[in-house]
Amino acid sequence: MRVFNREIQTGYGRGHLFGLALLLFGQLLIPGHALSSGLLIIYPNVKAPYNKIYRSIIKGIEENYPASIKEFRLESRNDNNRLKQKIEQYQPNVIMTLGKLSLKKARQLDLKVPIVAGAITNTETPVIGVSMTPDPEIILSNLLTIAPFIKRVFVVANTDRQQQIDRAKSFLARRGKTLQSEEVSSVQQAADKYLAIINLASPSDAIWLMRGAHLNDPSILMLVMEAAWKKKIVVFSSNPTHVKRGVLFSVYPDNFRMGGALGELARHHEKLPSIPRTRLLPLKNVHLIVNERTSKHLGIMPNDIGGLHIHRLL
Amino acid sequence: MFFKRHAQFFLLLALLPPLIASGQDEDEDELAHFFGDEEFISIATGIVQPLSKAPAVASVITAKEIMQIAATDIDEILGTVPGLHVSNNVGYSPIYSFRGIHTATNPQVLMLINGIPLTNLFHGDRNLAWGGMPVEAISRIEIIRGPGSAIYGADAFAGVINIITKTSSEISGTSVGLRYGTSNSKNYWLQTAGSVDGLGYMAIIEGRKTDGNSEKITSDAQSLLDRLSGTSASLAPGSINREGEAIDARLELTFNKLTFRAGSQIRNAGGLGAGIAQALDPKGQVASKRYNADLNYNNNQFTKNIGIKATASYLQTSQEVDDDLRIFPQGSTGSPFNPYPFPEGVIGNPEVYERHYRTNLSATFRGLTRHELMAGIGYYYGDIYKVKEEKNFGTNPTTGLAIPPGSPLVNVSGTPSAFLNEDERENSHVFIQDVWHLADDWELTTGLRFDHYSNFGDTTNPRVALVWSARHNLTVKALYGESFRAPSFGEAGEQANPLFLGNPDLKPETLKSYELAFNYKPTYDLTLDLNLFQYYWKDIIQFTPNIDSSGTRTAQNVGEQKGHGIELEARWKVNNYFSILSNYSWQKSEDELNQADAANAPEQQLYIRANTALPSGWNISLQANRVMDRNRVFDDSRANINDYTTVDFNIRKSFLTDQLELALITKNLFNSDAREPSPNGQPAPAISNDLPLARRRIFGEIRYSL
Repeated sequence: MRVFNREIQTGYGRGHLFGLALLLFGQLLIPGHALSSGLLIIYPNVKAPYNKIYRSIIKGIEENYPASIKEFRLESRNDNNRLKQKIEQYQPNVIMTLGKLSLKKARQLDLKVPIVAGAITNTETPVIGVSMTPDPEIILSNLLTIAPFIKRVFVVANTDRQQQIDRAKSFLARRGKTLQSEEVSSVQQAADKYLAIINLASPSDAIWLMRGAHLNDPSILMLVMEAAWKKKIVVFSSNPTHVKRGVLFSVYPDNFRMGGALGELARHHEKLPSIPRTRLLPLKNVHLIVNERTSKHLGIMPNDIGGLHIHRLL
Repeated sequence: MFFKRHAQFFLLLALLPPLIASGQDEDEDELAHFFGDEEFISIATGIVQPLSKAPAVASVITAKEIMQIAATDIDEILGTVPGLHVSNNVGYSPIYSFRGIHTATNPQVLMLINGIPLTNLFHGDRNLAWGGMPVEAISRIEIIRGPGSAIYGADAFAGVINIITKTSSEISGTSVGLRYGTSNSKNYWLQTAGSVDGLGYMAIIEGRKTDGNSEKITSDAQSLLDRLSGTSASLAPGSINREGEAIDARLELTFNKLTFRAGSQIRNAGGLGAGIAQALDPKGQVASKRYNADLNYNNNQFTKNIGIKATASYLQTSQEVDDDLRIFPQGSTGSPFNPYPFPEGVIGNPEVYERHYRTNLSATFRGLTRHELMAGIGYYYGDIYKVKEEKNFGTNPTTGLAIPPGSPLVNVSGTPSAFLNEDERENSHVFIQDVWHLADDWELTTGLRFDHYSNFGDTTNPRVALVWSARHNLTVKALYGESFRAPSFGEAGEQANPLFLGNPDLKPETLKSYELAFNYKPTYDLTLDLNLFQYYWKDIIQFTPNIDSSGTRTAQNVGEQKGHGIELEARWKVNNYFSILSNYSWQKSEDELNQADAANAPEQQLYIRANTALPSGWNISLQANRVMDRNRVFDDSRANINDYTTVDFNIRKSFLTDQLELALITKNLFNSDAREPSPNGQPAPAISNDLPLARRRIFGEIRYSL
C-alpha cells in the first residue's frame, strides 16, 4: 500500500495524467478507510550521510507506531501545495515532522491535526516532541559509572541553559556530588572561566563541556584538553565530536530508539489538537562513545567498564 | 620546476573555491552542527566502523577519499600511500613495492578482500591475469607497511593490503554509474542495498572493457634474438597490449551476527603488456575466473568477557589462455642455437586452476583489567587441482623427441614436459596476542604465531609493539616484527620452462623489521605522522642463472637485502571546504649479495592532494605523484631510469541532493612520459627503454541514485 502512495506522490510532480492513473489504480487496491487514518511523517530531502539519520528515525517510528504510516519527503522549499494535497488526501490523525524545515512547513499550513516534532534541538514556541539534545541526567549517570571517583563537576554554560543546569545539579546532589556552574556570555568570559577551573581542578573533579555559542572555540578546547591531560582530569562533553579531540566520553542520539520514542508520543497525541504547552522532551535514548586513549591515560580500563554498553570506542 | 611551469594552472585552482561557493540546507546545517561533521555522522550511523587499533604503521583510505582520487582502478588508490609505490612487471601486472622491497612477481605483499587472502599458489601473487580491480564496491582499504605475519601468517611480509567492501549498513537504495574515456575504456556499475526483516543485503556488479593504452616500446627480447640468429621477427618498435574485459560481482547478506559473502572476478581477453617473455605479443590473451564465498560469525559479547569470531572461506582461481600466447613471435627461431624458424611463433599456453579452503576461529578475552587477550587457530588447504599446457616447442611427451618448428600445438598437460605439476599444500596455525597496559600511557603488545606447512615445515613469527601516549596530542610507537613468505609452487616446482626452473628444497624468505612511529596533532585540523624503519630481508628466492649453457635459471634462497628509511605524512583540513594531504617517503636499501643499491624501487616519493568540496555540490581535486631515484640492478649498465611526475585533475558536481553526479576525470594531465623499469638481461636488457605508462587519459562519468 505504501508503495502505491509513494508513486502517487512522485507522480504528481511529473505529470497529472500519470499521477491520476496511478491514483485510480491505487484506489482499487486500497481499502476505503485507509485514506483517513494514521501518521504522516514529513522529512526533508538531505544528502548522504545525513539522510541516514532520518531513515533510522523513521525505522524507529515504524516499529512503535501501530497504525498506518505515510511518508512525505520535502523536495524543495516551495513544496507547500504538494504537502497540502498530501495531507488532504491522506487525512492523518497525527503529523510527525523531522527537522526544522518540516516543522516550519507543517505549522504554516495551520492544520487541525496535532504535530509531533523530532530531529530538532530547540524551538522558539512550545511543541510536542523529543529534542536531539541528550538529557543531562543521562550524561551524568554515564560519568558516574565510568568514573565513580568523581566528587565534583565543573561546567561552563551559556546564560540560557539554566533549566539543564538545575536538572543536572539536583541529579548530582541526589548522589552526593556537586555541580559547580559558571554562566558566560562571551568567548573571552568562557576562556577565563575554563582557565580558572583548570587551575582549581584535581583528579577527583570532572569538567563538563556543554554545547553553546561561546563554548566551542577550538583554541579554548585545546587549552582545556592539554591542561586536563597533564593534571589527569576527566573531561566529558555534550558534543560527541569532542571525543575524537580527546575528551573521555560523550553521547549522541540513538536514532532508531529516538524514533521509537517519537512513535510513542505520536500514538498518545492522535486526534488531540490541543495547543502544546510543553517544550521538547530531553532525549533519553543515546549511544555512548568513549575515547580509549584518554580513558587509559586516566587509568580507566575499558575492560572494567565493560558492563556499560559502549557503542563506539575511538 | 614542474610546479613553476604550470603555475598559472595551480593559481587558478587556488582561486576557484571562493568563486563557486554557495549556501547549505538548513537541516543539514543543524545535523552537521549537532553531530559535528560528516565523518562523525558516518561513524555514528554505523556507515564507518572505527579501525582496529592494532599497533602498526597503517594507512586507511576511505570510499570518500577514493572519490577524491577519482580512482578507476585500485592501483590508483594504492599509489597515494607513503612508502608504497605501484610499479608493474613486463606483463603490466602491478608490483606493490613497499619500502624498497621490489620483485617481479611481488609475492612479498599480502592482498586480502575482507580479510581473505587473494594469494595464488602458483606464483604467490595475484595471478598473471589479475586484470586490475574496480573500486565501486570498496568501503575502505587498510594498508599496513611492514611485517604482519604474527597476525596474518604467510606473505604478510613487506606489506598488507586489506580491501573492505561496502555493507548494507553503509549504502542503501539502488544506484548506477557509467564511465567512458580514453582507449575506448568503458566502465559500468550497478549496486543495490537495503534490509528486509533484519536481513541486510548488498549486491554490486561492476564491468569494464578497455582497449588499453598502447604506448610503444622500441626493442624487445626478439630484437635481441634477431641480432643473434639473423632473423627479423621482432614486432618492436610496437605497441604494448593492455586490453581486457572484467566483470566483478559481489553479494553480501547479514543477519544478526552472521555475514555471508560471495563474489566473482571474471577476467577475459587480457593483453599481456609487453609479452609473456618480453617479446611483443599483440594477439595473446589471458583470462582468469575467481570465485569466492565466506561465512562469518562475529559475536563480541559471546559471554560477558569473551568475544568470538569464526570464518570459513573458499576461493577458486584460475589462470587461463584465451588466445595463444607467443613467447616469441612468428618467424622467430626461439633460440640462437636453433636455425629453423617457428612459422607460427613459439607458443606456450600455461593454465593453472586452484582451490583454497580456509577456516579460522579467534577469541578475545576481557576478564583481566590490564590485559586484552586474543588467541586463535586456523587451518588452510590449497590445491592446484588442474594444470594444462599446450605448446609447440620443447619435448613431445609421447615421442620423447623435440617438437620441431612448424608443428601444431601439443598437449603436454600432466607430463614432465608441462611447466608445473598439480600439487597441494596444507597449513595450520595457532596465534596468541596480549595487549598489556603496563602503566598509564604505556601499552605493550606482544604476539606470536606458529605455522605448520605440509611442504616446508614450521615457522614461528613474533611481534612486539610498545605504544606510549606521550602527550595529549603525541603518540609514539616502537615496533618489532618478523615475517615469512612461503615459496610459491612455481618457485618450488616449475619445470620444462625455457626460462625458469623450480627448486623443491626452498626455504621461506624471512624479514625482521624495526619501526619507530610518531603521530602528532598540533591542532585539531592538522595531523603529522613520521615513521622510521629498518628491515633485514633474508633467504630471498631468486632465479639464479644455471652454470650449464641452457640459459635457464633455478630458484635459490640466495638474496639478502637490508634497508632503512623514513615516511612523513601531513593531513591538513584548512577549512570546511578545503583540505590538503601530502606525504614524502625516502628509503635506502642495499642488495647485500651484490654489494649494490637495491634496484627498481624508488628511493624517494612525493605525493600531494588538494581537495575542495563545496556545499553547492562541486568537488574538485588535484593530485601530483612524483617518483624519484630508481636504481638499476647492479649489473645493468643503463643509466638510472628518469624520475617522473603525474598530475591528475578531477572535477565533480552533484545535482538533485546528490541523486545525480557528473564528473570529468583527467589522469596524467600534463602527458608525462612516465616509465617503470624493465628487467635487465644478458648480454643486454630485452626492453631497453623501460615500460611506458599511460599518457594523458580523460574520462567522463555519470552516477545516478534511484
